Amino acid sequence: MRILSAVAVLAVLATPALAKAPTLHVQGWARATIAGQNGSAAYLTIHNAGPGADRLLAVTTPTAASATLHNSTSVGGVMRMRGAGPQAIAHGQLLRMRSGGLHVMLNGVKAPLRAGARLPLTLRFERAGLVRTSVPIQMSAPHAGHAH
Amino acid sequence: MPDTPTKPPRSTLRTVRLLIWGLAALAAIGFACLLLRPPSIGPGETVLTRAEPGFTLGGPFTLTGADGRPFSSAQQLANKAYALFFGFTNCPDVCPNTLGRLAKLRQDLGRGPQPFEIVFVSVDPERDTPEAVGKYAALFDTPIIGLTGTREQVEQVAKQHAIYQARVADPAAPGGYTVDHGSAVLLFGRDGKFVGTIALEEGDAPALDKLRRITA
Repeated sequence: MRILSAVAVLAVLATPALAKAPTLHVQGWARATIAGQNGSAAYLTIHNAGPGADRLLAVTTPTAASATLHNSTSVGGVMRMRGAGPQAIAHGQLLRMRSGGLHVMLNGVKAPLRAGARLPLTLRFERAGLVRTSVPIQMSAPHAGHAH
Repeated sequence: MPDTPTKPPRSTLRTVRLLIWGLAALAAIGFACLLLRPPSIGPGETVLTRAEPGFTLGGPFTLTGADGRPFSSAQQLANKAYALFFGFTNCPDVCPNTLGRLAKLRQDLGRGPQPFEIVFVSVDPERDTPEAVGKYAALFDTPIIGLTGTREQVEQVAKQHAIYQARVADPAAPGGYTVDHGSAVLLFGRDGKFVGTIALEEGDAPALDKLRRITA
């Protein structure tokens, strides 16, 4: 009996470790800066190839003092920007950041982000753990700089 | 065959005439409303101007230029069409996107190098020194007039343009705050009169149409 319950406890403990973490594909870009400018933003598109759902908890980069998820909203012609919490991404879904919406706010950029270079990023997911990537640095969004 | 059909009685004619004049008057009123209503704006852009009686959007203003010297719109923007945008240099998302977009639209307009001025007014004068707005304006590889001023000056100019602005605490932002602000670009003709707005959500085609109008 005691052995049986020990096995059961072990099985419960082992379940999260055994469950395969989802695979997340990250693309995106970061806005270039010039000397003296210490804030910028990165826009990521994250595809959850599964299995299962995951949540983006945080983003870090060695290039900036802080990287935080922020959401811009425009209601009644007034632009507001607020800190955003973890972002759930269901299996097969895309989390799409964009200017005027969800973005990674970069503060305390240590050296100018030069167009053509890449910004290294580490994304922390609830299940997939750390995902390391880099995105190109550009003057504006890949398609004509439009908000959509 | 009598060539004249029976004439309707005089009273009927008068009624018809009154009706026609009534319709004409209605059409005139409708047309005037169309002309007077705020310029058509994109979805999500509902509050722009407060329709207070006697309120005229725009008018001359004085701020501080990137060189630290006073900037008088009456002098430095005289006989120039301009696009006016309010923001702050620590705004990492919408402000650079809007200014970058204006720079590109100016290029796409194809009416010489500078058919209209792009004017950026800081609503964050505490953090945005003349030097800071100058550097920020220089970011876009095209001449942009960056302006700041005292808190009173900036608030006055924002009010004059019906632009909402308010500081909001944000521990993740530099200095611990961000600024909510009106996101519309205001367009002025060479006579300094307000012509319309470009909303954030608006497509490039209608935006270019409006820019053609102010630079015609």
